[in-house]
Amino acid sequence: MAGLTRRPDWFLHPADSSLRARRALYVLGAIAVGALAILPLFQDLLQINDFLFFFITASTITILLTSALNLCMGYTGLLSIVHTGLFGVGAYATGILATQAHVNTWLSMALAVVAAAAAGSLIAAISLRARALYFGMITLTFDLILVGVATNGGRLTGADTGLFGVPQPQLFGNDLGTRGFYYLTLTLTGLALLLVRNLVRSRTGRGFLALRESHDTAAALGIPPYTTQLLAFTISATIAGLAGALFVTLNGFVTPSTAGLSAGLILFIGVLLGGTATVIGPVLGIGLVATIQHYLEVAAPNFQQFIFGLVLLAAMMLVPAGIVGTWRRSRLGNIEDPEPESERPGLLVETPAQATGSALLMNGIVKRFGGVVALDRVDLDVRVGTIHGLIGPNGSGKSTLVAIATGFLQADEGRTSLFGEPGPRRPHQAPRQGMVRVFQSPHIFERLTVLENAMVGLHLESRQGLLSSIFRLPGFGEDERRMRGLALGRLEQVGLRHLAMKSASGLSHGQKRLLEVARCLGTRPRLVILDEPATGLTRQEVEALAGLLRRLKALGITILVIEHNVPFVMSVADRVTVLNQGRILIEGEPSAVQASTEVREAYFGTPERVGV
Amino acid sequence: MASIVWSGLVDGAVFALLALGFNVIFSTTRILNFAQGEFLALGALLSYSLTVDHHFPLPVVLLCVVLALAAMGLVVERLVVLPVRLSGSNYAWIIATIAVALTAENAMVVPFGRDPVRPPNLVSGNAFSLSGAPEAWQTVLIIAAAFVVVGLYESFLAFTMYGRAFRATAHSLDVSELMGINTGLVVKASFVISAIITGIAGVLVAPVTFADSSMGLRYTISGFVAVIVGGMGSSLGALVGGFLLGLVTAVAAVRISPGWADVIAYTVLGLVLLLRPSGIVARAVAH
Amino acid sequence: MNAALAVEDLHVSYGSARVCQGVDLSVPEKEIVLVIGANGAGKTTILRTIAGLKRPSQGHVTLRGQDITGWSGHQVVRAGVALVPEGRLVFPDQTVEENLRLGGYVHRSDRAGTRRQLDEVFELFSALRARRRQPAGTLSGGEAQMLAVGRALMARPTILLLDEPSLGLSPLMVQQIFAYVRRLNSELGLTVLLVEQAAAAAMKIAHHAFVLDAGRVVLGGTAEEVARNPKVQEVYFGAAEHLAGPSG
Repeated sequence: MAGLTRRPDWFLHPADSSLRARRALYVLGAIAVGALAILPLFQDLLQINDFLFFFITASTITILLTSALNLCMGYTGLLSIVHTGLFGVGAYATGILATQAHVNTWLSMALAVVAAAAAGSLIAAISLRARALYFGMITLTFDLILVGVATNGGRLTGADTGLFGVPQPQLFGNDLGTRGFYYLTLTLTGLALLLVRNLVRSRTGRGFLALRESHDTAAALGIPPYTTQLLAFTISATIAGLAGALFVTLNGFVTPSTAGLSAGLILFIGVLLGGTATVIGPVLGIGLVATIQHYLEVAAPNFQQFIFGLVLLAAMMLVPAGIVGTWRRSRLGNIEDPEPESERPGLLVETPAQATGSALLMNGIVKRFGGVVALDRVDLDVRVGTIHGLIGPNGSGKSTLVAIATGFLQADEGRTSLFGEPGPRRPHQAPRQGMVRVFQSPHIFERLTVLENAMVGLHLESRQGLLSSIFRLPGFGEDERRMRGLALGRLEQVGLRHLAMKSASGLSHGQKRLLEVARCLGTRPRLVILDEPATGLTRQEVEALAGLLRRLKALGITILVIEHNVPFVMSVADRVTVLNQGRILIEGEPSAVQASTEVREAYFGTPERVGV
Repeated sequence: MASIVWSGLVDGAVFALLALGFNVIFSTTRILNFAQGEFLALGALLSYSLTVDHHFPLPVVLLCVVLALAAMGLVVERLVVLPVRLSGSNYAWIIATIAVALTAENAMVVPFGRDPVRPPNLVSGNAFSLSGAPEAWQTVLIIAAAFVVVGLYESFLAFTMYGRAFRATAHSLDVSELMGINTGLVVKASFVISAIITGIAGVLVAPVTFADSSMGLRYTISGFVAVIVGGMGSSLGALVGGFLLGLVTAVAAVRISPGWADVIAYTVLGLVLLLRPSGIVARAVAH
Repeated sequence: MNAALAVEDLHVSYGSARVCQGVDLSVPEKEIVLVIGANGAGKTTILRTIAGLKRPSQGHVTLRGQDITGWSGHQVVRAGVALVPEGRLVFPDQTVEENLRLGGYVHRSDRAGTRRQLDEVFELFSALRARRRQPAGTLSGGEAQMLAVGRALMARPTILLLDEPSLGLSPLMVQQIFAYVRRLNSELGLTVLLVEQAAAAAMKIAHHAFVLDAGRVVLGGTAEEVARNPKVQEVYFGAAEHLAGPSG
């Protein structure tokens, strides 16, 4: 919904039913917030039990915790089973400081949040070192350890019975009380949601979403996976700790089970049912679930967990996109936002200073996998400002060679240099050296718009810092407008400008391919490597792609194309290298390669008589 | 000391059977079933109920338990596989299996209540004495059962046609289909076999420890530690992991404290996941 | 004309990538039909779809008039269509004999028949008999290919689908494999649908051939017609201004 605040016309004069529906939702939301704010004033008039405020406060705390989980799981793709544990750290730290060290409750809460952030940071730092599959399991292990420490902490943690008698924070000498907590929690949660929203609609947030979609693609665009994930998890842990601090001061106690697995079930329900990677999802999901939970407690207390388990399973099957996701896919909810403000796109791509020489030079590359020699003393020389094709039958070693060039693999022997400098050792360093790689299967970020996808490519270009994103400091707006302008320029370059506000998931395969090229142009590459770009494209789409490559070459960009579609490569390439079974078969101009009998034999096989 | 080691071996045998149960499902589906312990709970609670409340003779009890577990295995298979397939998320299996675990645990409260129960030994009498304390035949039965069940399962895999179909499915679903193997049926069968193995462990362990509806999660976690430490996909690993865990926690429980023994086990688990995620008995699980 | 196997207007996608964009081809009874084309053209996808490993988004697969579209893999095998997959994909930890027996899974209850079939396969591929108790992972490329074909034969198919059997094999082995395929067709009456990238050798044993490009059939006819057609080279290599002689 970027830029909607700057375009009030749609609100006052909605053009169609979808916009009317959206306006209705906004109005409803505003009414709901307003009602929540003034409800306590009508307590006597409407004879509202104090319990209602307590219930809303407790549910809001759960919403806060669920949002924390959504940030790291829904947005960044990190499955965490330790969030209830971090919640517990916030609660226990507050409790211990307040009851054992007699620290002022407000201060205890603040310190507890810091403690939770530190714990989250440490847990993530360790867990991220494992292979992706095991990350979730290690967080589970940490949760078990945290619960174990709480249970066995003796007098410090209150062991099995937990911590009791945690004093409420005081305002003007009085306990905060039910109403006080009500307003405090609603305000803090609203603030947190706003800041989270700011975060996810910024360069950093786009980085999270990119990582969720594909580590390789994100790294290829210059987003460092480890540090970015660590950041996401730490921020998420901070919010979880805040929720824990609120919980323990609201209730006055905390037990080890608060940090356990069963307590975490509702969080997953909230995230999945509400809609992953949406800010409002946790609010809706938990709102619904908390209401159901309340009635179940009254009607059938024994079946609560049982029903919740079934609800979660049903939600996964029936509404995999969650409430928000399903709404957005529906006819009414599926709207394109109007284009936001942006700077006029300036110079699209700079001509690199170096006009001659080798863009990518690989000498004597040898790579072995076990006993198999995948590459046997292979040389590759991609000249600046040319389109170079790399072809060869299945298993010839093309992908391995490119993986080495881009830092995904290390060669056993031989050297790689990129514009005269040594080649990148890690994939996410490649864009800084002017090289970007577009992979074979499109890794378009389906949840973002076409424009947002293109903006992810500008990760290295953007100057937004973390704090300026979260708090929308003055520099942010300017930078965002500049990035939008550059992104629109890239989209214009590939012919997708008219689809800028469309959801990327709706593009055809060929358009996704073009979007990927637009995205990678954001890194201001001097060398673009395309991995089988023509696969799955129709005839016209292949021609459009060929035209695009020629235009990029005219701008001075060097291009390396790996392909099976030989006619396509022959039509665009200046030079072609043919690999077969790990060795160079021939290297030269397309016509020479086409005429070569050796190449025909490599592809067609030798036409010997097949006797019986 | 000897009796501590013995009780560690008894625990270990149960963990090993749980680990084996994990392996069976993991091999055909690549899913770690966090609801595994619920099979054990059902086995334990049902055997108590049928033996003590209804006075069924032992063979009938065993038959009923096997049938009930087979049914439960089929239900759990649907409850796990369907959400995983329909949700399209990489982590759906963790959430689905945890959801099934908590659902099952609460479902068992209805027929069995929450109170801990303890059926009589299946085999009465004491076998021998260690450190001055008598050890019941039941404990011998448990330890022997671990080896016998593993042996039977491995024989099944090695010597029967269905076992080969299992191994094929574990290796590649697609190629197995090309052999004419109905892989959907194989997956269901693996859940059933896993449920029965784990349920039998429950029947065996119930007389030795208290059984209650919440015991499933505890055993799931222990079995999980055992299978990761020992190595997923390997029966030998299940035995090694199970017995190792049993011994370490038994000794730690006495030397340090029962609560911290668990925390130590989890820390060991975390280290293994970090440093040697394929486990002690690392086996090439091709896929 | 009764086609043993036919594919009509087949559309198959992997995500948004449209790999097959309307494929039509038919395989007459007791013939060897060859499908050639560059990688990414959709050859393997056609075979996998026929074999039931992939669902088409549009179109039909018919087996002797019966619509088998959407049938699962094991159902297709039971109907008598066996696929020898690309890359052979034998079970490496199981022995040669166990692999073969798995191939005969659908007939597992017929012990005598299975034993006879096993003997026939060893008759055909004598090199395998010597290695029957070796784990399949230790076989050479050519032996593994023979095993993969033998394994498919154990299902007693009437139609054999072969996906790039020449991949990674020496020219001599390639000759041998194609010789076997010809024998299977002429002596056992097996209908064969063969997919190859290395077209020249395969062309010699085929009766009919189809050329696939960007997910569609662009050429079809008898093997001789297609082999002589210069458009084939064009499909593979683009504009053929400098063709070097008729035999390529």
